[in-house]
Amino acid sequence: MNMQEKDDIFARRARELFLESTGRLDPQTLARLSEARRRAVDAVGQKHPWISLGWRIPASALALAFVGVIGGALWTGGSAPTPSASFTAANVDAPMMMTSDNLDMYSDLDFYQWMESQDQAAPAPAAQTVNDDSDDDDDDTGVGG
Amino acid sequence: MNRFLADVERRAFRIAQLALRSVEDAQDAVQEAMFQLAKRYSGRPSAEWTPLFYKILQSRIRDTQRRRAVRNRVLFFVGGQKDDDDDAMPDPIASAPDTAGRDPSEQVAQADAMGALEEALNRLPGRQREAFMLRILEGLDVEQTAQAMGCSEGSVKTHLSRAMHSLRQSLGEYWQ
Repeated sequence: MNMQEKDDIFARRARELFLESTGRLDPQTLARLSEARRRAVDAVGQKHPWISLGWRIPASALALAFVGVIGGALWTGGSAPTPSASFTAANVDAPMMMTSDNLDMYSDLDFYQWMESQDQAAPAPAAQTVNDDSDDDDDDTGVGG
Repeated sequence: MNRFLADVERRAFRIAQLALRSVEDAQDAVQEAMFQLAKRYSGRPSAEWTPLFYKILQSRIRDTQRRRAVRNRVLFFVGGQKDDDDDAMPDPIASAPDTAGRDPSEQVAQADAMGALEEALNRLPGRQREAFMLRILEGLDVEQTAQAMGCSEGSVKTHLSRAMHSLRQSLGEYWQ
């Protein structure tokens, strides 16, 4: 008898004993299995059992709690998120934002500050020259009003 | 579905009981496997139900074993106790009356042989035990066993070969 035949005999014997033991289950176990099977078969038609009443109640409670928290925060004067230090009202040039002037001018503020400092440092030249320079600058920058 | 479950429920219960050594846990595992199969896979072809059912059952058995291991570890650290409730429960198979009308000595011999098999099965590593129970006791083919265990057919053959070798070594005298 080779190894395979011995294994076959062993397997057959084990299966016989196993099947024999399934025929001697106690009535309580059999009743429990029948009940479990009935419930399982009843579950076949359930498409979305997780949306049953048992789940709706906690979901509704959660939604209600969320609305309560938001409502409470608004009622007690909860403010909007605090702006960062780099963007506070004090740092915003409100008149600049509200003016109807050409905003392109503000992109060249450094130039105008430099020009102002040059005017203060240098003695005033002849009126004609100043006017000519001023015109040139206006043409270069395109800032004319 | 009802016919399938009715056909498989007793064997499934015994397999779960062999693995868990607890009537209550085995009943829970089979109940859960039945429910999940019916709820999730009733629309699949009936030929797929057997491996799917045993896959769910084996998963549930492993979950129960893991929970039990954690519980025993906690009990050990808390009070140095071991949870022996399951072992203390009477075996419903051994205490059930024989319906086949056999003489008592034959019943005792069968019960002894099955008891020895159970003991030997519980000494096997988990995967070897699964392969033996599904392939030999339940009678699934290699492909179905691989699907139920979530491994390759080659792994099933390896686990089964090692299980057979170990069981034959420890149970030789009962199977001559």
